[in-house]
Amino acid sequence: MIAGQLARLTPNAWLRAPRPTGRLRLTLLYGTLFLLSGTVLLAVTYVLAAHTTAITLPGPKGTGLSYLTQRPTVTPRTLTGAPNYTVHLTPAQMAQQQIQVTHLHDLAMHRLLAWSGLTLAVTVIISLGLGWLVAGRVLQPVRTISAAARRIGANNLNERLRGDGPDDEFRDLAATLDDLLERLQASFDTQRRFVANASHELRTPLTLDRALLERALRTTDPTHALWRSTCERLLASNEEQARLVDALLVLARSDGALDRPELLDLQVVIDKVLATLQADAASHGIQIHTSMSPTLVSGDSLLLERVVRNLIDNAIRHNISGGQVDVSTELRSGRTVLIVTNTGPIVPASDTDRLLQPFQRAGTDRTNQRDGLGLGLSIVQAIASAHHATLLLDPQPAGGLRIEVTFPAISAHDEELTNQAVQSPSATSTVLAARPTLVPERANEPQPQQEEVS
Amino acid sequence: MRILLVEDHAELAETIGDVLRSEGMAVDVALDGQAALEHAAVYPYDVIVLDRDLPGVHGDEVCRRLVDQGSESRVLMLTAAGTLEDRVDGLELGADDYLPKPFAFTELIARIRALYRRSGPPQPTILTCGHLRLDPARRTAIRAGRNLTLSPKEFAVLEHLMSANGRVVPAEELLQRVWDEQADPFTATVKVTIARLRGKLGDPPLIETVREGGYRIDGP
Repeated sequence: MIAGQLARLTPNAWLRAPRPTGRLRLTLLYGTLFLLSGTVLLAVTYVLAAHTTAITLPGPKGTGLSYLTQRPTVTPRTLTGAPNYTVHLTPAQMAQQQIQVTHLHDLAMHRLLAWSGLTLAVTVIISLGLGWLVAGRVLQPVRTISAAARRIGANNLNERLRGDGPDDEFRDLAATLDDLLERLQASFDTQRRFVANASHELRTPLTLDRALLERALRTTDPTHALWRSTCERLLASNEEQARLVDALLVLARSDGALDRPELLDLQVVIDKVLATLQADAASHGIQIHTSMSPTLVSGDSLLLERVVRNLIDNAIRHNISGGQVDVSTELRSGRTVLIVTNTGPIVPASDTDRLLQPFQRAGTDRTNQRDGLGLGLSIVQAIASAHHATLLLDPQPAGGLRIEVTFPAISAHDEELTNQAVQSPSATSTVLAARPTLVPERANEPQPQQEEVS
Repeated sequence: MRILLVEDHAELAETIGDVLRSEGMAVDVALDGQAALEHAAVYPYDVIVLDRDLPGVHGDEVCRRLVDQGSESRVLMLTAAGTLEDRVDGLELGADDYLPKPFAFTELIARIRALYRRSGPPQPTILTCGHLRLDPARRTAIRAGRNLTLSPKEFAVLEHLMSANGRVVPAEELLQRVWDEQADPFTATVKVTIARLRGKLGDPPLIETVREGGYRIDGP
């Protein structure tokens, strides 16, 4: 244990290499570049200086070059003494002189090298310092952006970075991040609104249950009838909660992408749904008209059935007594369109967006329409977007609503799927003899009929 | 004590109303914000129990308008959104208290009583007058050691007269405060209740009849 503590105290712990921040790297880059260019400059200067200042005195037989440049000649004349006084040197003395000159030259060059090297070292250090400062200044906006971004959390998503510097890359970065925050906030807001609405819708039946139970228990002399009515109301409330949880689960499931889409005939789906809803419509005195042509869509059969059911259910519920519901399918330039139109109270055009929000119901008198959960159209929209289909709400001038769901055109890949399905129809598929369309089994599930054949 | 219950869920409103009435409160029910504002403009309610998520005029808006109109009613907000921010928002709008759903009736009733005590001059939790002790929270009335069995209406009339602190209470006021909007103002229901109450209180008589249809109980 002591060894461990000692290990922690070794210089390694605090002499660890500093974090390779952008600032440090920029500084080192500046320094290295400066060092390199300085060294090159120094080398060139040194070589040039060495060559240009090298002096060779004329040899005794005049063989040596007296000078390399057109500089004043050093002749065997006086170096000291009166100007007009000429000193003649012997060859030995000349050689001596040559040695001295070379020595002096070497000394000068050495000094040049030493001083320039020292100067280079000092300027490199200064450039490192300046580089550190400049890099800090250049990277300042990054630090500002990063600090601001860190400050913005889920609770203050309305804050923006608002890059106010010059029109440069950093401002672009800030604008991009602001854009991202905008979308994030919109999505958070939707989520929050959904949770608030869901909590209201989930807690209200809980409150009712509790109130019913407490009232029965508080009654000092409860009768059999009171218990009975309490139980019946609790049961009804329980059913409503079950429906709500069901709808929420469908909504959650349909919010993602489809994992295994299959090809379906929309008409078959509609027929199936209508079979269960006809009685309901009749009890409300509503007539359902259909005009359908065989149309294929690619998607999840359960979810698409839900779309059709919710649309027709809504059309029946938000109708007038003796009203009508029209269900039709058509092919519009290769795209399948499902249209559900109903008569009913007038829907303001401004309400169409609101109707797609979870837990929103048509009209303001939610009070007397407790039978709807207010999730129907949200679910339709979620499923439609999972199928890449578009949803169009068109309030009718005479009252009621026309809803169009436009599915994307069937792709070649989907067609291939159909052909495969035609070649090997499975036992449970809804094969329509009159039409070449059918509901294929999920392609990669084992198909019992095939096993029998083989 | 006259209560306005604003709740858009009709069945829940009915159930809460039943329980509050069994506690001797006079309860009117409004099913949406507009109806709530109309009711509040007509009657001086002691406490308004306001659901926040209302169709039409939202509960927040109802609360804001009540405050703007200088209403003296205490507002107890009920809501399914029980997060801290929601509670703070609600109180900042001018609500006097806040109760998240689902709630226990005992808590709702205790909070309504607490708000009622704070409306007008401060009220003690137990009202006394000579040998008569009235505990509104426990719903007990004791006179000289004798426990009185009072109906909710009798209890409410007695509570109102005692909390008036010796002031003369006109019969119309009793009708407004103790009975709800279903009561017919032309019946002798107040008179009948006072008569039954006098019988149960026994001698010496506590409730005095003053002038035309006014009543008072001497202060403690």
